[in-house]
Amino acid sequence: MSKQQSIFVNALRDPLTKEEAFKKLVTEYKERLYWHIRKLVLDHDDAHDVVQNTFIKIHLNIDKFRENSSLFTWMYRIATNESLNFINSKAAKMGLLNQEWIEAKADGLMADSHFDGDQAALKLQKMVARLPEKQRIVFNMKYFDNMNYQDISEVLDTSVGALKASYHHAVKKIKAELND
Amino acid sequence: MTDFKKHNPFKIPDGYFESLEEKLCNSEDTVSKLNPFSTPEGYLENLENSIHKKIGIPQKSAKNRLKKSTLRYTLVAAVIVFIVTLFQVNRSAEIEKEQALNEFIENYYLESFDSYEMLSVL
Repeated sequence: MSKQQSIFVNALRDPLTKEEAFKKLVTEYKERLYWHIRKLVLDHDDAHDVVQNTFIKIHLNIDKFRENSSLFTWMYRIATNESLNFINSKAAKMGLLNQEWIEAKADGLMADSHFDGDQAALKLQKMVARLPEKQRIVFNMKYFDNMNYQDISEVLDTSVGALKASYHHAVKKIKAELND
Repeated sequence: MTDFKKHNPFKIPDGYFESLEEKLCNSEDTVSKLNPFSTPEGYLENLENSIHKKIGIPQKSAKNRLKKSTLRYTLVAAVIVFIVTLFQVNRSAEIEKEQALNEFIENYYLESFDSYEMLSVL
């Protein structure tokens, strides 16, 4: 971890500077985390709930941050876990599997006032929704967020090799469906 | 044939294999990577405040800023009034001192100025 980041993390932990440092953190990362979450849960209102919960978790758990990864990676991990927990609980309440719930969300995207995509974008979202959970997350992070494998590996606690395989399978499935 | 070395004579650019898979996966992008999702107007601008509110961090509202600036101006005005008052008190004290001194001098001369001295002056 860089010295600059270490100083910032200390500021986040110090009761005297915590408030101001946290404001800076929210300003810096709110958009990136929001869009990461949005691509996982698809709906704006759901993404809003999850991004708030993510920042609450970051605020409450900053003392538990072990500093063996970057702060951004740690926050991304929290955002990913919060998104998956959210999908779990929503799907369970409706008596659906996670995959079924997310597919239903993707099917309803065209009627969503906050979806501006064309037919091709809609088709891609539906195909991504049909991917197994891990492949869907990896595909979103790699394809849409342009994250490198090393960062994704730290966020998902998975080896780079396994991630490459996941992404490769995901791309293969999507290409096959696009060609149909 | 045995004289020929078996080493590979071909070379590749540095880091070629490391990025090969990535390039292959991205080379046939047929669908735009543009973000098809949007947010309500002004949502991202206000997201910060809603997070602060949720966590319990005081927000910098216009009301708070007004309160702070009013307090600042009141303080400055109070300091100016205090300095002016202090200056005037000092000034009146100086005037009083001056008057007392004049009175003292006048009285001294009147008292010590006897009729003999008056005659000698005349």
